[in-house]
Amino acid sequence: MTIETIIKLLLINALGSLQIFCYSLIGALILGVLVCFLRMRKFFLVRLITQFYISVMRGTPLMLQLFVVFFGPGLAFGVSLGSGYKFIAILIAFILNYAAYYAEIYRSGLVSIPQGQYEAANVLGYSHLQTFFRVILPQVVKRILPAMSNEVISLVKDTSLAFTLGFAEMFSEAQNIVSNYANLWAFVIAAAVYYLFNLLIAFIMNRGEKKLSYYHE
Amino acid sequence: MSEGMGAATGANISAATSAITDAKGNASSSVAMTATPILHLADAHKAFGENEVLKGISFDVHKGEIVCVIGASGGGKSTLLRCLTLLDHFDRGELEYDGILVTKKKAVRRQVRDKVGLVFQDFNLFPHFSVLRNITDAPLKVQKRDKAEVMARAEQLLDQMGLSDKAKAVPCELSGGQQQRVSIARALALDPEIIFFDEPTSALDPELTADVLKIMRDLADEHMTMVVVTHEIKFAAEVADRVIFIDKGLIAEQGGPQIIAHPQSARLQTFLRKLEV
Repeated sequence: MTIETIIKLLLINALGSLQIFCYSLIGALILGVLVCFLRMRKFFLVRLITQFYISVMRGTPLMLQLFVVFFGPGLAFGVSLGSGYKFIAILIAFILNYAAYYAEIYRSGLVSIPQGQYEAANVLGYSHLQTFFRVILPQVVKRILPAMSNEVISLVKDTSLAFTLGFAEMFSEAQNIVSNYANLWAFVIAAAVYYLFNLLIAFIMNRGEKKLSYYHE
Repeated sequence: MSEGMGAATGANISAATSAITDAKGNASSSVAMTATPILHLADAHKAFGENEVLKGISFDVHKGEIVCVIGASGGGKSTLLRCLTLLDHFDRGELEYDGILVTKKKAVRRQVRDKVGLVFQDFNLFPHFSVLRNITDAPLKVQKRDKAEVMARAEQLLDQMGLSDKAKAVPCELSGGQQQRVSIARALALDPEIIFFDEPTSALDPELTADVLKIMRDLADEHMTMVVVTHEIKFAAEVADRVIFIDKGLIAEQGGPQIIAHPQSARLQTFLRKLEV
């Protein structure tokens, strides 16, 4: 098998990885907002349940969570969800897992904003929404960008876990090639593709950080 | 809101004075007074759990008056200011602005909010906004005033603060004194009827304090109605129309600025003596 063929095969399957990445990222960024919101509620029970959810997501392996979401419905209720469910299961597991991390990053950003910022906005007559969107959120974004970069890069690498369910993405294809053709180049090339993609993400996030570096607190 | 400041003259002082109720019954202000005070506070109480911080504070502030509030740390000054600026609320007592009774109702608080400005001890500027935007954002987005008018006013304020060349800078590029002047401009841009200062120079190096005090003196000369919580006794003695000394949650003594040189109560004497050391 030529190197070109390997590259071609891997890139075709990289599309699967990219799909997992994009959908999971968008889903987790949004769900994370909701989780963060619930986590910061005053109502004790809501806070407790959210905290429990976060600690389970962070405290158990993502691979195990994938298995639970994928095999769980069949084992527990005897329902068969068809072949299309594999992709859905992967997204559910990734989104649930990453939303927990993102929520904690959002929260860390929110609690780090000094109380005085809220008070100044209050005295100047800003509404709650104005205070959040004009005063608080821009500062939170700046503060959490480095931590978010880490988590986004982690997500890129974690897409390879989908291979455990036999989903066609780049790592499972690399694994196929290596075991069927005894050609280790597949791993090397797959590594390079992950690396380059993450380099791109790091570059973009870095630009963002630079753009916001016009001020510091 | 720009009608002649300090319009009332000596002729109606006596009439107005009789209408004033204060804790010690010794109102003595050199400033002319109109019938309805801008700020009217009666028997204000505030406690945090068991800790009673304000135990019945009453005073009025009239248009153009400069009131300095002094007292030891922990005596309730900051709590008083937070409640007066609606960041918190009194447990008991009556607070009126321009004759409007402040309640917990949102609509009332919003109505009164416009009348009240506050300059914080640690500035609390918005770090991601330029100096200009710090000053113009609230008038534009909260008061929804005309952009050209807001910009013109901002330029005038920056000029008054000696910061015309800093309009595009962000707060972190400014010294503490400059930041505090921006925050004064930010408060003034909303055209409040009364402006509160919470130890405005406490976070500043001594050499930067003078700039801020000068701005405040200028405001006093323009008869801006001001309530200043301060440790700058000299400033209070020079600028205040009235000095209120708060001790253990009560007004222990109040009167004209001369009470700093000639304190009547033992507690104020002790407080001032400690400051000298």
